[in-house]
Amino acid sequence: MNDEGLERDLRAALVTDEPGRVPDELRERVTAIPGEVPISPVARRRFPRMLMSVEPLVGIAAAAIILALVIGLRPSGSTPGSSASILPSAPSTASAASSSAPGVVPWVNRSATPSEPAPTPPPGAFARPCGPSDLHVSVGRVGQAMGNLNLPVTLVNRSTTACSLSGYPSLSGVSSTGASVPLRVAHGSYFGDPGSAGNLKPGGVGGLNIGGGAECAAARNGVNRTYPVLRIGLPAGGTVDIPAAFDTSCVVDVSALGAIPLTNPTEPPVSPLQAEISAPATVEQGAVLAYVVALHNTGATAYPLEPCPDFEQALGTGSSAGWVATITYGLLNCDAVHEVPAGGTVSYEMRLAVPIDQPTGDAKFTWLLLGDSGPLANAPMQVVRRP
Amino acid sequence: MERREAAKAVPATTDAVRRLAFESFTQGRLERAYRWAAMLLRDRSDAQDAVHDAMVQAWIHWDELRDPARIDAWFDRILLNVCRMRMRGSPVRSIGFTDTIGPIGPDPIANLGESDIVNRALATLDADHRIAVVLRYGPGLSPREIALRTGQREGTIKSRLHYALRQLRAFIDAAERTPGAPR
Repeated sequence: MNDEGLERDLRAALVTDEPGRVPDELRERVTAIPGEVPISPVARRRFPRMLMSVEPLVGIAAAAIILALVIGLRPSGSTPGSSASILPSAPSTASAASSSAPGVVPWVNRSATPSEPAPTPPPGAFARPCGPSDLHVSVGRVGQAMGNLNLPVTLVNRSTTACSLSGYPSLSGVSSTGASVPLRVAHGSYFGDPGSAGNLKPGGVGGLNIGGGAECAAARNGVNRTYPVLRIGLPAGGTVDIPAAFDTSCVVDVSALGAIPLTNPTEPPVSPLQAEISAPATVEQGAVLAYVVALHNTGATAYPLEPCPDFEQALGTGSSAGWVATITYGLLNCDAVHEVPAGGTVSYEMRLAVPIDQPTGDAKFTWLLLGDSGPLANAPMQVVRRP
Repeated sequence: MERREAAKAVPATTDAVRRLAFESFTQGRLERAYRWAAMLLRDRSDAQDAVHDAMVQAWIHWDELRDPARIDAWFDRILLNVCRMRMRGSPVRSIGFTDTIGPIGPDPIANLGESDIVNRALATLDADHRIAVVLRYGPGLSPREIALRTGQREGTIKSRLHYALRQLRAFIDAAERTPGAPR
């Protein structure tokens, strides 16, 4: 068979074997990922911290811009730090909904001021560093995901006073003869940090993730470098040993040491509020979309709107070739209504200026109350060409 | 301008934008990702799992992407790594896209039909060579584009294509010379 014939047969075989449309099951599995897969605290923190270190409003605009750039998103009216208004000063035609229906809190055009991330305790707030004699150390079962191995290490403060955990430890392998072999470790675990730098009260729990791999060339060639004991060097001095049959032939990484709070900080409390959007089915390019968001309190107690919460609204259209989302942040109108009564509903008039060059077509339209965990509402929307 | 004194973090903000961005991304890439995975793994079920795993990886590491111009290559590399791991971790199969999988014994391809000889030949390639061939002759990527997605040099890809085609040709020629061999 000559080259030309072989290449023709390859193309034919690969085209013939194309699997057809994406199964609904796969679509559902992928759609569920954001709700099912937690983001490691490291990944979650990296983004806002970097942005919030600059001027607050620039930060939040930059947050939207950076993600926007990733897929062609674009924050609306993005003149960072320049205005308190989230609508153009001279908006184009209000196209979609009437304003100020009875019982609806009227729209106020106020920009949100992003709040600061939870502050890291200043150095003086830390207790003395935990030493080897303070800690009871245990290891969990080795977990595996995507070719990455994880050995979770739990550290409990067994002393009678608080001590602190922070920083990255060093790691050595201890052979059966007792020889200690320093291991080259990378900082940052695929599985994230189990906690954050902080104090361990007596009985308090901290943690560390030790990661490895099973897919490097050495492992594939049958190399196995397993030590019966791993020796963890604490940043402030001293070591603790863990019995761990852990293969270190591939790259080894460690998370930062940290205190694990009793409640997981990455899982904010579920808001008792539910949001529902009432919006027209279409909006024209260049128009101001007027719609209503109803906040319903499913809780048994009134939900205070103090401090008055921010909201986010986003309208995205386009295709894989070019996706554009218009995202704005605003401050809810809390002038007259200061709480959502238990079992009650408060409706708010909303406005979103749609850019003239917003792509037409079916849109992803989202409204979200910031803080805690929402609530978030979606509604069908179509952006249509301006006549 | 009204400002608010508050000290709460804003994870919901970034979460919502992130979720929107991720959903938009998956809508645009899912079909191609599934097609590539299926061509590489030769099994629809494996392809589904690989695409799901790759999307999980993309979601977890979403914030680490800094260059928007590289998002396709970034995700493709994730997908190809997942597929490579699956190819290395499971017995090579060359079953096309039938709903039933025959017993995998010493010769898992012995009972395939005549038209499957190219698939059988592809199944003899190791993961890296198969990736090069499938991307070249499936979606038709250039060696440079393949290199970008695999993290290899363009010359390495050309070399892999050269040796892969030679191996494929040898397999097919041998099959054709074998009396009674299916063709």
